[in-house]
Amino acid sequence: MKQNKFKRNVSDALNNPKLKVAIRRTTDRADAKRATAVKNFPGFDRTREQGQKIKDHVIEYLDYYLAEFERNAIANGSIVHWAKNAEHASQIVVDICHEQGAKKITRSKSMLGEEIGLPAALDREDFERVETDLAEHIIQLAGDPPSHIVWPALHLTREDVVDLFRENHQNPIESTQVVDLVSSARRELRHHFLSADVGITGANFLVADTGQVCTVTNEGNAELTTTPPKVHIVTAGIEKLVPSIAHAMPLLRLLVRSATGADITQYTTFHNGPKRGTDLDGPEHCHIVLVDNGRTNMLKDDMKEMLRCIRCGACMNHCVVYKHIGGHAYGSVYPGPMGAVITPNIDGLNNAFEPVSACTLNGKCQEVCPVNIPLPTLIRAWRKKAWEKKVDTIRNRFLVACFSQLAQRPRLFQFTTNMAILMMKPFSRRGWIRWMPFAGSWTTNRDLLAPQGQSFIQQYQKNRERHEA
Amino acid sequence: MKHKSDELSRSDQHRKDIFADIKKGKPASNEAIKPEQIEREAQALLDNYVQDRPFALSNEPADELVRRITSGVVIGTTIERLDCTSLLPKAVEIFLDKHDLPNSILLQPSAPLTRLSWGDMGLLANLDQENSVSVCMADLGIAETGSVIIHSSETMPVLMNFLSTYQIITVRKSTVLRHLEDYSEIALRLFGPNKSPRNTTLITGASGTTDIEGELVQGAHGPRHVHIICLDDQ
Amino acid sequence: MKANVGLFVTCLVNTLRPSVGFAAIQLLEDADCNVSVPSAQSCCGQPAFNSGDDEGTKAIARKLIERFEGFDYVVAPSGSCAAMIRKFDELFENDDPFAERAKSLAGKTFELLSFLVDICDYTVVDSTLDATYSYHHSCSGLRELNVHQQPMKLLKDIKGLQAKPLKGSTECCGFGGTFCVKYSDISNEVVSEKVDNILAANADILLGGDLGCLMNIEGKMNRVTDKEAREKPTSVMHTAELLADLLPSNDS
Repeated sequence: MKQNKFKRNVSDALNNPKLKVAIRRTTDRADAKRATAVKNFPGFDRTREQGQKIKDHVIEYLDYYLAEFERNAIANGSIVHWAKNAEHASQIVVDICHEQGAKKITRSKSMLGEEIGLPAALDREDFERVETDLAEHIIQLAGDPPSHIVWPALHLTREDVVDLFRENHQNPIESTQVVDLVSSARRELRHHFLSADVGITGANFLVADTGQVCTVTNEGNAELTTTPPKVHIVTAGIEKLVPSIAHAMPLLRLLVRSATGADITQYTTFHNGPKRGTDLDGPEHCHIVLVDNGRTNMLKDDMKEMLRCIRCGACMNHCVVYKHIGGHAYGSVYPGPMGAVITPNIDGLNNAFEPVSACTLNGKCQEVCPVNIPLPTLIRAWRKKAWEKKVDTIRNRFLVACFSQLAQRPRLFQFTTNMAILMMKPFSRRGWIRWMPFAGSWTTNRDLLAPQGQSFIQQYQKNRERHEA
Repeated sequence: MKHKSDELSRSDQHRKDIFADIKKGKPASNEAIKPEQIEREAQALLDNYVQDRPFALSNEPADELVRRITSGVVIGTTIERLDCTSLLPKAVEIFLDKHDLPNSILLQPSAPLTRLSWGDMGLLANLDQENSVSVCMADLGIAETGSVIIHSSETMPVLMNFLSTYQIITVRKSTVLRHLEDYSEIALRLFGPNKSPRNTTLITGASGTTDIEGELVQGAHGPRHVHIICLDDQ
Repeated sequence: MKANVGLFVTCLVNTLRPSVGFAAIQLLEDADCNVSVPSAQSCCGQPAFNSGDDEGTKAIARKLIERFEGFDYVVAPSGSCAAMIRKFDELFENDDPFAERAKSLAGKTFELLSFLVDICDYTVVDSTLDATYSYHHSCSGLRELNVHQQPMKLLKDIKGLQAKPLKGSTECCGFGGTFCVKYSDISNEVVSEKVDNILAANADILLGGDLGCLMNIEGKMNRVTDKEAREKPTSVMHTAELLADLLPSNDS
């Protein structure tokens, strides 16, 4: 079922010329900007090692840092909640909103929020949910799920946005300029910020020794989401910890350069609990929901390098598969290479096998990963589990098994090679094969190289015999 | 109220499960590791990294901050230097003139600013209108990134930094730090161990977005233009 | 003393382009190696390994180790096959006697062009070719074995041969082993873009070090130019073929 769905998604995506334009307008820009940012920072590689070490250190002592963060967050007046799974995490947030009698809820983009199904959970309870990140605002209007973890509306062109804003904004604009579209959204969202009852954000880092929650945005929507409402709710994965603010800094350098190609985001904010006695503004209550949802399984399953991920999106910007099929084809919250590794943890390998399988293992994703996650190795590790659990189709498994059996018998393998060469011969025309039985998945789209006479081994042996004679 | 306590006990159970699962993923030898060792390891990570931060900053940090912003890499931001705080109202007036803005600002309610003589400049109570201007004092600056740092306090409302169209921020020359990491030392000195203000924002440029086709636009939700005034306080 | 080199031909070269194998032998001999080709060889096991079939891969690996561990070096005209052989030790548990043997084999297994440059200090002498070329850096060689500068170094010494820059020269061509047949339509999109870039570079020759990628690229280029009823402007060659062609012994 799921496999067919992936193939259908891929086919839809490949047959959508507009999608390709949309993807490329953003990813090409992002790739170029990242490359410049990396080139301009001579310490990038060493910082990358440093970032990896910091994340590995935290993962090693995750329970220590979680307990320390909890202690300090509570000391600053926050209420800390724990959720083993997505349903519970969403339920906690929904319950808090009900308790506060909330009507309007603003949300600053958080992939964890998407992961736990929070937007849908809030909608089911009839809260007025206002997404405040510009891209999230756009896809909320479009009714689409995000298609990228940094640019959720990457699948839409400016022309699409023009249409959406004209239909939905209170004072629609005529202009099709991006700058005017941004102004239109600014006008539309401003009053929502100021009249919301609850503001929800994610976290880019949780600082253990102070209990601070760090968000990074370029728009300033996180601060506008957390400050005016009476309640601030944070939803964060348990892997987001750093020992101290100083440890967050190298990771920030990596995150921003890898995501947007800037040195730092415009707003890097450390939130810490509710309004203090003499503060002039800020929320009266602050709740932090710490979510596992498969993360501790990654510790157990030899997938712990994946917990290093700081959600920069570079792996998908540079993935040849993502660049052609886009984020929606994956059918999961996290697309691209990082999604291929994370999603089986969340949705189960049976439901998330296709993205694991649809990868050329070319290694570009690891090369650009700011914390050096061995993504191809982890993707292959899932394939190994899938093989053991017989997840792939009988046909595919049969073909691989036949191949393995043949390849471990070299003489039989050579014999089969010679047979194959003989069979290919009648289909060869001037060195190429346009079509032959059983080669359709190759020859539909390209010509197949025809053999040059006999196999190398046969020719080589013949040459030697001639020499020796 | 019953509902609330149910929720808390359920959360406790989830907490226990999460910690148990973390333990399961680790070798038993980790149990014996003491907090002091973890802290030592964490500190060693920082000590080993010092020389790899961006740029060998040879200049004075404040000079570097000015250089960086002047070079144009900080989005939508300009900078000027001022010899003395008393010249600030004049500098603000010139800025308003230059940008053809009404002669009124929202001033941060902080004594060093409010005790200055603002002449006939109007003082706004809110930032509702288009082209509004806010003026505030940053606590610190960071040369590496061209950032200023603002702590929330009894004289610093967070929201005023996000609602105006134009944002004028002063920063004292002596408070400009070299690198991002230097902030953690200062924070420890200012607030003590395990303490921090409710809100700490590093502002590096004007509010912007690349959400439509990756094209950069200034003034997404917050200020469209930031003007930094570096005050010589020596 | 001449080094004894076992040539691992790779199944694609063996089946479809033996000329690459003969070119490899000529170059290795020109680099003063003693080359042997064990006739009972099959595949490096990549299709099984990348499908997650570790048991199958292990069986393939054992046979390959037995056959090749006696040589001073094992050389393959393919980065991805050489990289696979270097990974064999990951497959065996520590107490498996094959673990040690796999490790030792990994230490002496090389991709052809990097072997020539890094181990043999091989240089191109007195070669001339009046032509332009673009280079496709195959992913496994590039990212797993760091094969990048070596072929460039060899080609630089050919007089008259000029490089033409290729956009995305280090990007995957969409071959990916079983990927190209399992996800034929995605693969097609990727290789189409690759071919567009190659045609835009407009060099006389496209060179590379991995037959998998090259046959994918050339097969697509063939189909595209055929459809447009025009001559292929760029011919596709394994770097070893070009280098061997220029050897004095092949002067025609």
